[in-house]
This record gives sequence, C-alpha cells and structure tokens, in this order.
Amino acid sequence: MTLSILYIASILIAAGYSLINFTEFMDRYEIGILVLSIPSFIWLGFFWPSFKKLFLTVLILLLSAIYMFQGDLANQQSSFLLKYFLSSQSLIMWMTFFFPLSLLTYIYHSIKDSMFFGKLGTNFSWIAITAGFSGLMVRWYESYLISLDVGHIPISNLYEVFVLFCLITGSMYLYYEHKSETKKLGSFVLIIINAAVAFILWYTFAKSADAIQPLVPALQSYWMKIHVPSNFIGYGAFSISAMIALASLLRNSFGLKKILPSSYVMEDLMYKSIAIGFIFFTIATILGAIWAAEAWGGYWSWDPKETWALIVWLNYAAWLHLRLVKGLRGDILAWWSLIGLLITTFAFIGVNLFLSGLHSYGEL
Amino acid sequence: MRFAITMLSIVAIASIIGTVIKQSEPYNNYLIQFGQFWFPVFEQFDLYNIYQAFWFLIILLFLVISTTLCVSRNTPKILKDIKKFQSSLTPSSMKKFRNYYEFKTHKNLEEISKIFMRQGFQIKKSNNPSLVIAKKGTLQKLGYIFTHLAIIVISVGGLLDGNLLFKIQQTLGIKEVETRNLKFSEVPSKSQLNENNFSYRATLMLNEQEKNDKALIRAKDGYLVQHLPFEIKLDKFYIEHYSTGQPKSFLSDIRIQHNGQEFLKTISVNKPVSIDGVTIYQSDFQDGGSRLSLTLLSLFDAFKPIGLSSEVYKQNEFHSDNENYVFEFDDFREFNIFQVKINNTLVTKNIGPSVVYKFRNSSGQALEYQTYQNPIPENDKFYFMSGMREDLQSEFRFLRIPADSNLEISGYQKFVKNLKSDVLIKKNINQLINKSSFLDDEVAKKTFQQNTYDIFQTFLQSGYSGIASVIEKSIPLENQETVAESYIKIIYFLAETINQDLIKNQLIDVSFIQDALNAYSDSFFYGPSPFVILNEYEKIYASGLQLTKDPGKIWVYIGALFLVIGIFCMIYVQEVRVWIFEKTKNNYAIAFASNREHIDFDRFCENIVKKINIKDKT
Repeated sequence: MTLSILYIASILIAAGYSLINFTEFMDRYEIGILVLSIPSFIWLGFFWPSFKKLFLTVLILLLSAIYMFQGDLANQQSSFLLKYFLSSQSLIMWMTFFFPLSLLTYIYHSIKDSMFFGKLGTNFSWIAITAGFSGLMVRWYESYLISLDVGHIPISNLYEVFVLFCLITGSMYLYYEHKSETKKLGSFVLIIINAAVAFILWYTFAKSADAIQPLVPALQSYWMKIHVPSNFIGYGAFSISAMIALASLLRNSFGLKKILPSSYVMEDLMYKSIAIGFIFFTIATILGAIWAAEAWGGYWSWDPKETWALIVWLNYAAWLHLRLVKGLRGDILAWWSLIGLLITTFAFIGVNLFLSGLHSYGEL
Repeated sequence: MRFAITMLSIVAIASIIGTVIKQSEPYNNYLIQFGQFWFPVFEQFDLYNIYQAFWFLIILLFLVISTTLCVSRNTPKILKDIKKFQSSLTPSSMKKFRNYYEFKTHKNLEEISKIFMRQGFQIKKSNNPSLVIAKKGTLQKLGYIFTHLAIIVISVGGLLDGNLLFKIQQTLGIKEVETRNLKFSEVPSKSQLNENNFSYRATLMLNEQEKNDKALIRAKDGYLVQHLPFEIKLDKFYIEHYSTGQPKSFLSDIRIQHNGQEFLKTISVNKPVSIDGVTIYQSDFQDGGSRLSLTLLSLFDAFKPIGLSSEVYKQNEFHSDNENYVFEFDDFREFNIFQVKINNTLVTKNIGPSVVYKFRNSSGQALEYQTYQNPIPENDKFYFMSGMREDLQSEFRFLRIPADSNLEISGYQKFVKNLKSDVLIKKNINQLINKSSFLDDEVAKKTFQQNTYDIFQTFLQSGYSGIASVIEKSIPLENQETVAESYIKIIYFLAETINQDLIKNQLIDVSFIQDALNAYSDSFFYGPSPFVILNEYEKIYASGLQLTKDPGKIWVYIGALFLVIGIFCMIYVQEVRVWIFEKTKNNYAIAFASNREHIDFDRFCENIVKKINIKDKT
C-alpha cells in the first residue's frame, strides 16, 4: 500500500516536474507522450506489481547519479561512485556482469533442483535489469550534459538498442516467470539475453561503440520514442517464445522431462509471448510507416528493413493463424517459432550487416 | 484460403529477392554485377524494380480480390453467430468438456445467473426451465472481420498510391519511360505526366535561386517528367551543425507560387510541408555549382603558381609537359567531419572545406583527387592533405605536405627550392667532406663527393623508390640494408644542412625535414596534377526535394487501425459459452466452452465456480 502510494506519487512528481520545467525542450507530441505515459506507467505498476520496485529503484539510482554529476560530465572521472557504479557505462557493465551470473545460477537450479539457486537466478536477473534500466536513464541524462542539443533518448544506435533488447527480454521473462511459477525456463531464456550481452561487450571493447553520438537529422523525431521500444517488445517477445520452443523441443530428449515444466505450460507461454510480441510488432511497424511518411516521403518504400519487418509479421501471423484458427499444437509450432527467431534476428541485425537501405543507423 | 496463402508466399519470396538485389539502381550496375547472360533474364522478370513489377502488382490485386470474397462470404455468418446463442446441450454431452463441474449449492438458478451477469455474461433462458445458457466475448469474432478488412483497405490504399495506372498506360502504349538525358522542356509528351496525375513520388534538385514547376520520377532505367500544381523556387539551403561539426539538420527555404499566391516555407528532415495535396520533403542535397578561386602549384618545378577560377561541374583546360589536361570539378564540401588525433586523443572535428576533381589527360584517362583547404592537425603537427585514386572503387592515397610554422605551404615550397639548388647541394657536400676526418686522401674525397651527389640527384629525380632500385641493382643483398640506412642518413643530413636558413628563421623545425622528404618522395606517385590550393570560395548548394502525392495514405492508416483492433479482438477477447443445468434441485452441472482453451481459461472457470461457492470438483 505504501509502495503503491510512493509509486504513484513519484510518477506524478517526476512527470509534473518535467512538464513545469522542461516543456521548452519538447514539442507538443513529446508533451503528449509524457502525459500519456503517466497513466500507462501507473497501469503497468498494477498489472505487474514488481515493476513498482524496479521503477523506484531506478529512480533513486538516477537521482543519485544526477546529484553526483552536479551538471558536469567530467565528474565521472573524479568521483569514485560515478566511475564504478552510477555512470551509465558502469551501470551497463554491471548489467553485463549479472546476466551471465543469472544464467549460471538458473542452470545450476535446473540441474540440482535447488530452490535457493532458483531464487538467486531471479534476483541476479532483477539486479541486471535494474542496473541496465538505470544505465539507460543515466545515459539519457549524460547525453544532455554533453550539450543540450546533443541530448536524446538512448535508443538511437545498435549499442543502445542491444541494451534495450536485454532489458525488455529480461523484464518480460521475469513477468512470465512470476506468472507461471516456474524458474526452469530461465536457463533457456537467459541464453539469448547473454548472446546479446556478448555482443554488447564485443561492441564496446572491440569497436568502442559505447560513446554517445549526436542524432543524425532523420532520427530527430518524437516517433523514435515510441517506434523503437515497441519494436523491441516485439523482438524480445519473439526471442522468449523461441527459447521456450527450444526447451519444449528438448524436453522429450536428454531426460529433461523431470527438469522442465509440462508441454501444456510451455505451449501456453509460447503462445502468450508471441501474441504480445505480435501486437507490439504490428503497432511498431505501423508507427514506423507513419514516421517514414513524415521523414522519407512515403509510408512504405520497400526498404530492406521494412520488407523484412513485413516478412517477420507474415511469419508470426501464420503462426497465430495455425494455432488460433486451425487449432494446431505441438512440435511444429515450436519449430516454427524457433525458425521465426532466425527471421527476426535477420530483420534485427542481418539487414544492417548485409543489406543497405534507409535504416542504416547501426552499421558494424 | 489456400490460394491466398500461395499468393502471400509468393509476395514474401519476391520481397526477399527485392531486399537482396538492390532496387532501382542504374541498369549499368546490374550489367556489371550479373553479367551479359543473367542481366536480361532478371530484367525480363523486373527484378530490378520488383515492387513496381506488373506481376507483383497483379498478385497484390488478386490477394485483395480473394480476401474481399472471403470476407463478404463469411461476414454474414459471423454476424449471425455473434447474435446467436448456442443451442442446448444434453447433460451427457456437457460432460465431455474440459471444464466441466458438478456441484451442490443452496443458490437457485436465478442467483447463479446473476453471478455470471456480474462477470459480463449475457444470459439466455432456454425452453428447458432447468437450463441456462450464458455467453461472453463474442466480439472476438469481429477480430476476423477487422483483420481481413484491414488487409483489403491497406492494399487498396497502397495500390492507389502505386503506379498501376501508369503501368496500364505503358502497356497500352500511351506513356513510356524516357531513357535519354534530356532537358525537361525537350522530353516528349509521351513521357510527361500532367498535374492531375493521381499519385506520385517525384524528386526535384534545385540550385539556390533556381525554380521549377516540373519534377522527375525515376522509373526503371529512365525517368518521367511530372508537372506540379505549383512552382517552387529555392531561396537557400543550409546545414545546422552540432558543436562537434556533425550535421544537426538540413533545411531549405523555399518559395512556392500557387494560383497566384506566394508561400514562403522552410522545410527540413522530419518537417515536410503540404500544399494542394502534394507534400514537399527535404531528401537530399549536393553542390549547386560553387565558385572556386584556386592556385595551382607544381610539386617539382620552379613553383610558378598559376591562378584558376572555376565552378563545380565546370571543366578547365590545363597545359603542362606538352600534354593537355582537363580539370573536372565534381564537388566542393564546405564541411568535413574527421576524427583527428590531438594530444593522443581522438577528437571529432570539422577540418574545413575540400574540393573534389578529376584530372583527365588527352587520351581520356582520369585520376580523381580530393584536396583539403586547411592543414589538418595530427598530434602537434599540421599537414596539407590531398588524396588521389585511380578509380572510384579504390581508397584515396594521401599526400601529406607538412605545414610551416605559419601554417602555410610556402615553407615546403622553399624547402623544395633549396633542395633543388645545385649550388647549395655542392656547397654542403663539400662542407660534409671537410668535416669528415676519415677521408684522408683526395681520391677518396673525390669519389665520396661524386657518389653523394649522385645519390642526392637520384632522390631528387625519383624519390626513395629511385634510391631503392639503385641499391637493388648495384649492392650485394647482404649489404643492402646497411647501405640503404646510410643513404637515407646522407639525404636527411644534406636536406637539413641545405635548409639551415629556414630553420634559423624558424619557418620550419627539424621535425619538418623528415615529413617534407617523405612528401617529396610521395609526390612521384601523386600523378600529373598540380597541387591545388583553395584560396576563396562561394558555396552554392543544390537541395534535393521529394514531392509526394499519396491519396491512398489515409486508407492505409485506417486499415492499420482496423488491423490493430482486429488483432486485439482476436487475441485478447476470450469467447466463452457456458451451460448451467440444474439436474435436480440444488444439484448443478456447469460446462464452460471456449475456442481458445489454455491455462488462463482453466483458472477463469475455476474462479467462477469458486464464486458460486462450491468445493468439490468432479
């Protein structure tokens, strides 16, 4: 109860403070997004009670970082706390530390059936997403410290969206874990998150891609704030379903029957995550089309990214059709969703790697 | 249904092909990429413009028709279904349901019905007084109508904005694509589209102060001319920058004459302007013929600088070494954002203007050059940089001429002039000999003098590579390295002593010598072009506008809205039907049915039964 009051109050205060002080930096659409995010966040807090704690912790970490920075990016080097804990880069590095740890504990939990390690895995994942979300929020603030006109939401390049991917996939998994009362799927879902973590580390250390860069003109739009996150809810959800599919395909072999939840539970989770992913992916594609109409002069240009988004969409539309209308169940759907992950991955990074087009913001 | 899926699969495969083969490139590129044999084969199937291909549009059209038929056939059935309550079930067939409960309660049928109504159920009493039927979530069925309607509406909107109409006109021979390079006014009317054209996406490149009322539509290997309902004049194009120099926004001030009215507008990326159903976007920019004032320096001769005034896209003849060359100025960039190393850290910085040109000899071969106006910092030194490449595919190789202490190129000019002075060379060689104590007899002195002079002349005539080939020819392999080292030392030593006056005047410092020698040696690979120094310029931009007329857009958006509503109904509205049967007084049987049975549904049923206050599940 106190938590709920605190939660709602901090949302109202944060949004109110921004609306009073920062409106000159926002256009009317961004103000609209901010106002609508108030009820959305309140709803999310009640739909998924654990989110309240996440929100408040991230808020506290963010405010501490802002306090420590004292408006000067250079303090990052001199302040111990900032340098090792609260600067965006170190928070994100903490995320990349706790996700692998979480995977290891989940695996140990599955093998030894140890409740303690299961809880530990969950907690490590919670720490990872708390650090990650705080990292992105602090990064958002840091970008404004570089220069007011450089400041932007940190979802604008491949490095930032990979962090976002880890966080969204991690959060959705934790939600389902709580709902389905099984921690056994953690060792599967965390695999894909850690693949992204590996990429982030390689990208950071081999390519120094973690520097904050100003936005190119095409990305300077409020649309980015809604188009990119909804896309990544889609990608995250599809990845979760594919990892559950992998688990359910392996279930019948290697004596994993004892370890994993029943097929019925796993099929249900697979369906739910594809369903939510599909809705968000549809919305993201539509928002993308509206944005494209405004920035590139056409809502659909058959750009490789657009085209592959359509293919991803058709793929999962077919999946849902088979399950909902034809009533199909079982291994075929699992295989399908696993192959769907390949298509999704190609649409996500393959297009940037191998094909050139309008979406070339994240090149390697 | 099967037909629709086949069509969709073909669309998907064609779409993938379209992402692998880069679309709408100049046809020559495809010819190079695929070769003589495959190029015409792929062309036959329109693989270079697959999304505008006739067959692709026809498939989309078929898809629309088949979906329309499907929807019109099923909609009445579905609407009837939504209204209808399911017929009665016999108590025995109820037992077959996954969620079937039997229980005893003191509540009567009326009270149980109320519990269901509170859960949002509609209730219907049947002819049988002991049976009540309840249902909820019938809107789920609307999901089918909405999603399929959405596909139709989106496709129709897309087809409206596609070029199906032109394709038909082209097939009938009324219109055709122009492939020759003509002025707008010379394009035959067969390739012109009037301003009433229903929909288009055209481009228009305008120089500053230029105006036009026609735009270009790229089609296949050619283009069409689209008449606009207004005339656009570009007043000014400009770029705003971040403090690091990276571009922040591209803007055009335009002046539109429409029906005798004039509108002044500024457009930028993400901020287009609409007039009379046509939206104008900022999509591109290039040089619009900037004026350049240049000085040409020969890298080897007596440095008689030649002045040259030119413009981008202009050609200038140049005469040198009994050969006629042509300067073709291609581009002038006012801003160049580089990562430069200053004090060992990489800094993103605008290093100022550069000019790009081709230098063509009389037999038509050209080298491409890119020369930067300002010296570029590298740690604590500055260099004048100019790149050269033989063809567009290769990287520029850069000549780096060190700047003197005034950050000018004249230090280097003086350096080379000294280097080439025979008097200075001989004088310094003699001094070197006199200082060398190991040369005791005159013969040895004479030989050393001659050898040193020869080495230095070789360097002056062909740089380090000349020295290398002399060594390769005349020195045994095992001694080559030591000899090379001593030659390089001698050249360096002479260059330094020859240029003592410059060092004394602090025009250059000692570290300059090595850089300058390298630059001198490299200039043998720079090709015949003189070094171009940019004195002054007047930047003139050309702004690339895109003009879009898309009346189908609104339908696509409406369709998209239907799609979201439809998917939401299909996935998140749960259709439930319930039969409540009072077997004997206070003894009930309840069956729950849903077309989507999963864990949440089991919980939902359980919850309701709990509400009716039952403990024993059978």
